[in-house]
Formats: sequence, C-alpha cells, structure tokens
Amino acid sequence: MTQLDRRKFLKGSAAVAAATGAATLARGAAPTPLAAPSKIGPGGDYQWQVLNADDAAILAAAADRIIPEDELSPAASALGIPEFIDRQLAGPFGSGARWYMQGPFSNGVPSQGYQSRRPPAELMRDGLRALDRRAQQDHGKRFAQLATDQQDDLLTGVDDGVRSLDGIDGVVFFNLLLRMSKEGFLSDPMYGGNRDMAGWTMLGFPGARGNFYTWPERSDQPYPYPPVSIHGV
Amino acid sequence: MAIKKKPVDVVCIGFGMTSSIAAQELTEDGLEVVALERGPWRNTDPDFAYPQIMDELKYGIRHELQQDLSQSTLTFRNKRDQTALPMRHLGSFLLGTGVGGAMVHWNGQTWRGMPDDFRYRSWAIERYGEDFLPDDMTIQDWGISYEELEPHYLRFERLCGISGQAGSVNGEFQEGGNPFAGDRSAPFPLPPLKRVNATNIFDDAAKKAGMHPFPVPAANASAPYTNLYGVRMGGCTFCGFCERFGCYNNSKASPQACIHPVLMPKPNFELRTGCQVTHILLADDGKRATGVRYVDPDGQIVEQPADLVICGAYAVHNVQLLLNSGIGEPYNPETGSGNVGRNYAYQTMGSVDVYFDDEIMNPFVGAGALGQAVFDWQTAAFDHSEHGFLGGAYLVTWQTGGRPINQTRTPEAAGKWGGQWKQALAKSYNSSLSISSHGSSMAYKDCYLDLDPTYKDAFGQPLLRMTFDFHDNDLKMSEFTTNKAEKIAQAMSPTPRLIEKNLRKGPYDIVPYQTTHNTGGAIMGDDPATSVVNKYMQVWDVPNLFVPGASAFPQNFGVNPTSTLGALTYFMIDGIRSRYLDAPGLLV
Repeated sequence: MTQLDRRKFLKGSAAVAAATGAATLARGAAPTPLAAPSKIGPGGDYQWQVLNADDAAILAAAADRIIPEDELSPAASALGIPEFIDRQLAGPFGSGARWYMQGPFSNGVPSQGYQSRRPPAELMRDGLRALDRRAQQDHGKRFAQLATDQQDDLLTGVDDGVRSLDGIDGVVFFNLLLRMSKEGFLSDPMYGGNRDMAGWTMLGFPGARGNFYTWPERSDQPYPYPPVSIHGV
Repeated sequence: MAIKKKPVDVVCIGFGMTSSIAAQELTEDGLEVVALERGPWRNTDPDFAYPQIMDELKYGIRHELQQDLSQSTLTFRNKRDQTALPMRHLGSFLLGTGVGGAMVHWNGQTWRGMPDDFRYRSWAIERYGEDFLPDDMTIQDWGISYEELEPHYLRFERLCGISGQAGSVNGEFQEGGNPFAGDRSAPFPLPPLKRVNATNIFDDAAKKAGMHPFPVPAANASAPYTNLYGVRMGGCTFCGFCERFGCYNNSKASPQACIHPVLMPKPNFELRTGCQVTHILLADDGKRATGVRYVDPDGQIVEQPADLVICGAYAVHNVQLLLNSGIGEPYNPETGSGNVGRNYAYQTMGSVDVYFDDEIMNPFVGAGALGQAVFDWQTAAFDHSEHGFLGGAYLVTWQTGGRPINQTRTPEAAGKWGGQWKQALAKSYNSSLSISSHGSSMAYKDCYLDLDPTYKDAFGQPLLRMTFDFHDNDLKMSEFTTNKAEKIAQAMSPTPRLIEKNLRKGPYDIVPYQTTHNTGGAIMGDDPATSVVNKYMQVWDVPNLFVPGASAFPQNFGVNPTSTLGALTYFMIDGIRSRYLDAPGLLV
C-alpha cells in the first residue's frame, strides 16, 4: 500500500469509528464474563460488544467457510466461534493492551511484522466490512448471501493477496480472522467457543487432564478418555 | 529527586535464573542482597496451579506470563539500510518477565556445549584454515574451556534435577548416551525420561540411518528429586504444558521449583517486585558501579546503592541496560570499534514433518524436553571441509505436548482452512511427528544490537534496536542438517505416507516463533579489546559489575543456551566468592 493510500484509509477508519460509536477499546480491560448465552448463532441472545449484528453475520458466514460443518464437527457458528471472537475483541487482546502501539507507524517490510496502528478489534471490524463491500462490488450481493463456493473463492483471493480489500490490508485481516477462528475452535470452552468440546473431540485431545504419567509406554495405544475442560461441563 | 535507599552489599537486576542463583549463593556468604524485578511475584501455587494453568489460549497464545510489550519492546530490521520498526507483538522469541523470568516458561532442554564450541574460531582455523571463514564472520573463542566449566555444568544439573543418559563419564563411554558430548565428572542426577512412540520411531530410524541417538537431557524430573539446596521436586506427569506455561508440579526446573523455597525466607535477602531498573549508576571516574536507578510501582525514581551489581536480566535486556547506562563502548558496525552490542546471534531452525497412515502418537503425552536426538551433525562433530560452512545442529523428535492451537501440523496440500484442512488436521493430529534441526548461528559484522534513535519504552528509555539476518553460511548449514533429518524420516518404520521438509529461508522474520535463544551483545573473552566481560562475567571496564547471561555468548552454538549460562553463573559465583570478596578488583 502506498503512503497516500495508507493515510486515506487511516482517515477513513477514524471516521467510521466516530460515526458508529464503536465499542470503547479500553487498555487492560478485564476479560469478559464467560457465561455462555443459551442460544448462539444468528438470532441468538448474545449481546455483541465490538461487532454489531451486521458485522456478526459477515463473520459467521466467513468463519463457517474456515470451519465448515462436516462429519467431523459442526460449523463455526454452531460452536460459538463468532461470539468467542467478539468476546476476545472486547478484552485486552482486542485493544492491543499488551502490544507496543506507540508511533510513528510505517509499513516496513513483511519480516518486521504487524505495523498497523489498528488494534485487532478495529482490524477485524474494518476487515469484515471491507470484505462485505468487496462481495457487493464483485457479485452485487452481501458476503453472507453469496453461494458457499463464491465465498470460498473470495476468501481464497483475499488470503492469497490477489483480491484486495478497500482501505485495509486483506492478507493481514484474513490472518487475524483465520487465527481467531482456530482459537475459537480449539481453546477451552470457558471462552465461549469450542462448544461441547467439539474441536477437541475431533482431534482426540483430552483437554485439561494434566497427568499422563502412565501413558508414555502405551503412547501407541488409543487413549480411551474423552476431553475435560478446565471448569468442567 | 530520587529516593535514596540504604546501601546494600549486592543488588541483582531482574529475578530470573541467574539472579536467583547469585542471590542464593551470595546470601550464604552473609552478604545483604536486594533483587529488583520489574514484573510480579509468581509462585507454583497459586500462579501455576492445576487446572487453571492448562489454558492454551491464555498462556500459550496470549502470552500471559511473558513481557508486556506496551511497556517495552525492541525494534528490528534485517539490514542496516532499513528503518527498524518496533516488534509490536511477541512472535519469533518469547521474552520473559516476572519472578522466575523466562525459566518459568521454558521447555527444559538442558544441553552442554561441545568442548570445541568454546574455542570454535581456533578449532575452525586449525582444521580448515583461516580462509574457510567468510570475511564478515566475527566468531571468536569464549575465553573459557569446557574443562573449566564442567564442574559448574554439573552443579547446575544438580540444581535442576536433570534427567538424562550420560555419554562419557570420567573417560568411559556409557551405552545409550551421546557419543559426541564432552566428558562428564558424574552421570546426570536422574535417569532419562520415559520414551514415547514418536521418540522410539526416531531412535530406530536414526540408527538405521547410521546415526547415534540418545535421550535429550531434560529439566523435567523423571522421578522425585532433592536438589543441591535440599529443595524437593515432583516427578514429571507428562501433562504436556511446559513451554509457555509454569509447571504445576514443581517438576520442571525453575527458580520457583529449585531455589526460592530456600532463598525467600533468608533475613539477608529482599525482593522488590514491580521495580524497573533503568540505569546502572557509575562513579564519576566511570570505573565503578555505585548502584542502580529504578522506577518503583508508584512511579517514583529510586536509587539503590550497592557494592556489587549483578545485571541478571534476559540477554537483550542486559545489553539495553549497558547501553542506556553508558557502560563500555557501543559497537560501531562501520569501523568495528566498540564491543557493547556486538555479535548478536540467534539460532537457525529447520524441520521435517512426517505423516503416517494409522500410527498412534498421543502427542498430548508430553514433556518439554522429552525427545530423542542425534549429535552427528553438531557444530564440532563432523568434517565441514567439503561443505563450505561452519556450525551444525542437533536433530531431534520432541514430544512436548499436543496443544491443539499451536502444536498441530497439516500437509501443505491441505491448505490452511476449510473442509480439506479440517480432514487433514483430524487425521494428522494423532499420526504424525516432526524432526527439528536445531542449528547454530554464527556472528557477523552486520548482526548487532544498539539503541533505537526513535522509539522509547514506557520509562522514556530508548528501545534496543536489533539488526539481524540469516547469512548464507547458516542457511547452508541448516539445509545440510535438515537434509540429514529427511534421511532419518525416510528410514522410519512404519513407512511414512508423506514427508515434508521445511528448509529455513531468509530473510529472518520476527513473526513466526523460532526460539527464545537470543545471544550476544555483551560477549565474553580473554581480551578487553574484543569482549565486554571476562570469563567471570565481570565487565572489564567496571569490575564490580557482573553481567551473567546468554548476552555473554560470542556466537550461538547448536544447542539451547540455558545450561551454559547456568554454568557460567556458577563459575562467576566461584570467582566472586574465592577471590573478589577478599580483594575486589578484576579477576583476570
């Protein structure tokens, strides 16, 4: 991205934040309470914090392509992954509370890593909206309304850097989307994703058992016990 | 106006491994010791307690135990003509903070260097001639020998309860040990950890490929152990949560598990947490440290006078402190003058992933140093003359854990997401293994640390600036050793369904995790013209300032650094105790 483009999108994102009254991204905010809502997914009773319902619909559609439903597990949106992502974005991770976020900012080269002044919450929100704009531009439909193969094509293009997003680095955004979807699939269910430990069950990871003292010598034999979570379910 | 504290005999900067050893030892001599730690107090219970510690997201991904970069980070660039930019989140290495430092969240892979590692420049020139070294390679001898360090390695191993199978003990080879390791004066304190299917497969294949496998020396106690201070450690449960986590069972060596139970109650020891040291203070003549300046938890500037200063922070933080305190001459890469910041090195890693059809691995049955390795291609174990590079690597199959976010692998062809990726992930999780090539990193003129001209930490101090890239020598080395790892993979039984080789390529990238083995910048040697500290970790220019740490390594050898910097710390204590306390001054 050129410096000029960068200035444009930084200006643009500030305007978006002001206009939508985006959630405050307090530094060092305490982790969000973890009580799971009774119904997740579209139409559920989860109160979105960083994302709004519109963003959440884009996120659910995209996360469902990253972790689709098959015989191994339900899809991302049935596992609480969009809600997991929103909760994480509302906490210290989302605000970049433990990141070095002092300027001056400059893009540098890829080996220097993340250099945007957007913390993860803003990167995700702005990225989802840019993805939706790209879907409308290319297909005349919102991302969530595309056929799944069109969604896959668009996401693949963004991931590969061949389909750019408006005002945001699509590759960096997709990386965040990908990593957070996987975190929601495979982290302890107390964070709101990995519902019923479906991700762990798919792998055969026994969770927080914490003691396999008698297992090295039997490590080529099937481990017979299902997963347990930190707080139990 | 700074608050002035009552003078003490010794002040330790940081309270990780080196400072904890120094404080434990010097308080035994009746000295009054204060340790200043920037992070919080942490202990096995409650901070690492089961089950809360089994939280991959919190500790493994969000780095709860590691440095808060909003307070301080470093800047990075590959080349001198680039502008260094801040490392905005942790990635390539995981800096520690808080009581126990990085040793809280290490794996426990506890290697000794090879005897010739300590005279690697001389060794290389004797064997291959001066012309064999690339012009810009600045490796040098350590100014200490393996033989001098050996009793101190053993002392460190008896501190940590190391589990392993000795190679040579008093000149006699022990079956199943590492035939390339230096001679030992005694076996390891504990027998090796139990093996798992993956490490058995590696062991068989390495033998078939003509190599010499042995169990990795582990700071994960294979049985309950009472260490040299009388502290008792529990036997490892193979819970699979070592690196990035604290050990709930006092089985993984750490200051908490091995030192603090005897140190903390001593009346002549005081720990102050939440205290960020910003400067080592010098007398007007610049030849003597008078103490340190720090920022306390209220933000007050405090001065702690001391007769002896131990700068025992992490390697890169030691260098930042020296530079910010105006100690020694900063390295100038143009002219080659100055030593502080010179010879920053890292580690050069490659790997081979091996996928089987139906084999069961149970990867979650793990310990941080549960591995089987070969030293056949290590730094000083083979003839380099036909290969055109220096250095080497150990090859190893680890089973450190099967944590689902960070410790899974899928074949390249499966992609990174979607249905195909999910299928591959589910299949690979329990039926694959990896061989790592853990390689050396030579020192070069243009790899160094200095102060950043632009960016500052939360205390107003300039950030450290890292200029580092992989050089051809090291990439060639890594390709050679990774190809040897592929040979082991090809000899595996059952026959792998797929072998994928991950060769290390440049440029060095600060984002993907590689190792937390940052070395150099305050290097040791026998000549003040080419080193910052002598073999006692004593600053040549300021003899009452000691800087133990991997910052002292002149270049990085092919093994993990912890055991060597532990041994160097004990060697330092020996020098302070036997001679310095009676007659303060240069020990060399």
